[in-house]
Amino acid sequence: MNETLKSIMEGRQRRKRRFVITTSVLTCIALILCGTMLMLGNTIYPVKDVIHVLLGQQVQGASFAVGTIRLPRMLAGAFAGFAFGVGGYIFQTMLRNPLANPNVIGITAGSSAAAVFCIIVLQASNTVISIASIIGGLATVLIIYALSKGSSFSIGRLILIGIGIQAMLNAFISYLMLIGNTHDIPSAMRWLSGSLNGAKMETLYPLLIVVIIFTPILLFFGKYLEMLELGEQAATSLGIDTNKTRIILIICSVLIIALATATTGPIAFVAFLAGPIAKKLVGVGFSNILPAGLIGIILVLAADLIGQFAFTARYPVGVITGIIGAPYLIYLLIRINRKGDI
Amino acid sequence: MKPTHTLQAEHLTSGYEQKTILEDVSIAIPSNKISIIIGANGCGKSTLLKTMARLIKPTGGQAILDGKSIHQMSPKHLARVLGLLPQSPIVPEGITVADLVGRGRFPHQTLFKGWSKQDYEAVAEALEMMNITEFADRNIDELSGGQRQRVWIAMALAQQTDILFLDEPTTFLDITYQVEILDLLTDLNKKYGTTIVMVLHDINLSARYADYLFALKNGRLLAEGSPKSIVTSALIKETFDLDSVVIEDPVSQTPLIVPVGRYHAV
Amino acid sequence: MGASGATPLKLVLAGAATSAILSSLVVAVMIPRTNVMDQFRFWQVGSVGTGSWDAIQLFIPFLVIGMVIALFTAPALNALALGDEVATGLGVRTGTLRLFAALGGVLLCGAATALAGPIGFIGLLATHVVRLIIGPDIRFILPMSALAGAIILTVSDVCGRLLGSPGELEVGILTAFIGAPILILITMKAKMRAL
Repeated sequence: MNETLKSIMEGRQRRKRRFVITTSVLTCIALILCGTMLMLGNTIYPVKDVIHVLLGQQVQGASFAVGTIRLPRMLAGAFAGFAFGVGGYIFQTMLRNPLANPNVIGITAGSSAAAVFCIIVLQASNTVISIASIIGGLATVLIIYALSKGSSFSIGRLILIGIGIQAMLNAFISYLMLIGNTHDIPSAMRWLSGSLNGAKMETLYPLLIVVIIFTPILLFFGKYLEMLELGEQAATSLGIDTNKTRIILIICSVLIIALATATTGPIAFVAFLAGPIAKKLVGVGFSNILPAGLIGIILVLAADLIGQFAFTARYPVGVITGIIGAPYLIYLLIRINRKGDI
Repeated sequence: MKPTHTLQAEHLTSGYEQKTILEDVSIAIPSNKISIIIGANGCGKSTLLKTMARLIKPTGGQAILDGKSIHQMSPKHLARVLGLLPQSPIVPEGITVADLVGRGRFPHQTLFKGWSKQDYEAVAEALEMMNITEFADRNIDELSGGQRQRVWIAMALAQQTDILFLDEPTTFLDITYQVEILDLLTDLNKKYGTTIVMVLHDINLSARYADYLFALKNGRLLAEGSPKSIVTSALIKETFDLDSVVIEDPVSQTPLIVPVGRYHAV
Repeated sequence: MGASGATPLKLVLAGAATSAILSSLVVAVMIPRTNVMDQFRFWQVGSVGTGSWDAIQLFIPFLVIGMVIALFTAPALNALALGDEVATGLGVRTGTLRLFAALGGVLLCGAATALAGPIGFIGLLATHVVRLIIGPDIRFILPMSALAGAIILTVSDVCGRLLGSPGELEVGILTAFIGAPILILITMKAKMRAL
């Protein structure tokens, strides 16, 4: 008995240590990238200047470039990346499928369709566009969930209905793009591939607030999510109200993803990549919600730095993450092919 | 010894979508005993088990634990008294045996704390009971079907409930493992007095291991009682529509059903 | 795909993920080139309005080869419908068959998409309707679906032009709005255990 006890405790400690070390390392990398985002640009400012600006002191030139342009850009990237990473991980775990991501349940298509509609048909202001895209994303998720509920919840049905609704929304977007004025098209394009360009401090607050409020709730429910992984019946017999838990998890993660999408547009594949990377690094046994969020930050900021500075043309971050995601997708498809199940 | 509980189904009617599978079943589960539900495919035995464990909401009647309807109890409170091992639980990819068994501790844990001393002890005890301590740190994907089933039962054991439901715990296992699993469950019942209720396909193993049998047909209760008192060729004919001869099991002195078939006469 | 066969769910998810990646490649190509972007938005809705004799000439060989391959694989596909193991037992080389069936499908779909842009749901609608009428034999479903697809597409195009007059409502938009609800209805009725 005592020996068993000891070996179980040791195993658990070992996995905990790995979790703590990985999370710390990821936090450091994320912070370094945040700093780099503030330093790099047309003019490179030293760490000292950046810190002074952040502390609210006036620094010749740097105050404007760092405070007004780079800081909102960095914050938009970091918070949206975190939101996509956390939301993606939760959906993948809940739907028990590494290919699942928030696109599947319609957030992206709904947000984009609403935003493009506002841009092209209503010629609306930025505030209206943001609000509409949040509502569009949430409404789409609600419709898909309602249609797929039936008498008992089925993941397969949810995914297929999601695909159907998305097809309609995408056709609608294509139609809008077709009837739109040529000069509205570039701003509408932003909704088809995420970008951190033009992030402003005042448009960021909703995202910041929602992420700060809902992340603790999601972390709190991490343990419930682990139980949900064992399947409907096992989770119920362990004392979980599966429907209630699922709805809370969906609402929280949809909210943060919808706001992130409204702020930056859909940054392809961050939600898709963050979860599996976190799992690989941390392993199973501890909730990977936080590491997935950190990896989301790292992916978005790194991709944005690459997009800004690595090529002659400046590419929006969504394009870069999409291209980074491609090899992983191929790997995943090959692995699924070999293993025969997802 | 585990405390005595009363667990009853009262006029339980249940099913999926518009289809009623279980109709007006009233039973009382004998406390601290092993009960087995038998019946042909689709007779509602799994549905009965799941409805009594709160997995399916009944369309009529109720399941009552110690005088309270289980659908009105708090899920977590119920999960400390009654556990169910479903037929096909899902293995999270890459999880270790100890961690998976540890998930059975969920109803006993508070959300912010990690594992307590009791949690570690419960997991260790469950692993030892199922003879799988050597696998504690192994990835569950590496185990064989029989070993995996023992891990799942260990998870249900770690939950430390007084009542344990199992939905076909021996399906897809070799005969050796079937007997082993049933022996282990009997150990559990003898050692702690855990009330065990399960659905089994094998009628002979059911007759051997059960203290009490429930026979279902078309969603209704056909017969109940100790195997010796109810298993007759007439009951088998009625339950499974099968001609058979019932003799005494030379090993356990319980009823042994020998099917007849078309090519052999008695 | 996969040892246990390609369930619709796996294919759908794999498809969704792949298309998300490809569309970010599309954006990457377009961003430095505004004139391409302008052309692309017309192509991507899917319309037969831009058809030309040159394009059709290019299209025909692919159509013929694709159709021949498809028709040849049909009997074996009937066996495959019973599952990989049964099909192997019936003497079908499932791997080779999948390869050829996929090749035929890709040739046909690829050529059609190059000609008219992505017009969704015709395949889903046509095969479902045909299957309802003539039953599950793929040897008959294949040619009949081809006809049904042609009918659905031309009718949709005419409807689109009537609805959108004086301009036109592109057929790709119309088929998506008819096809997707039907997909959803089928899904809601289907037994999800099969997925």
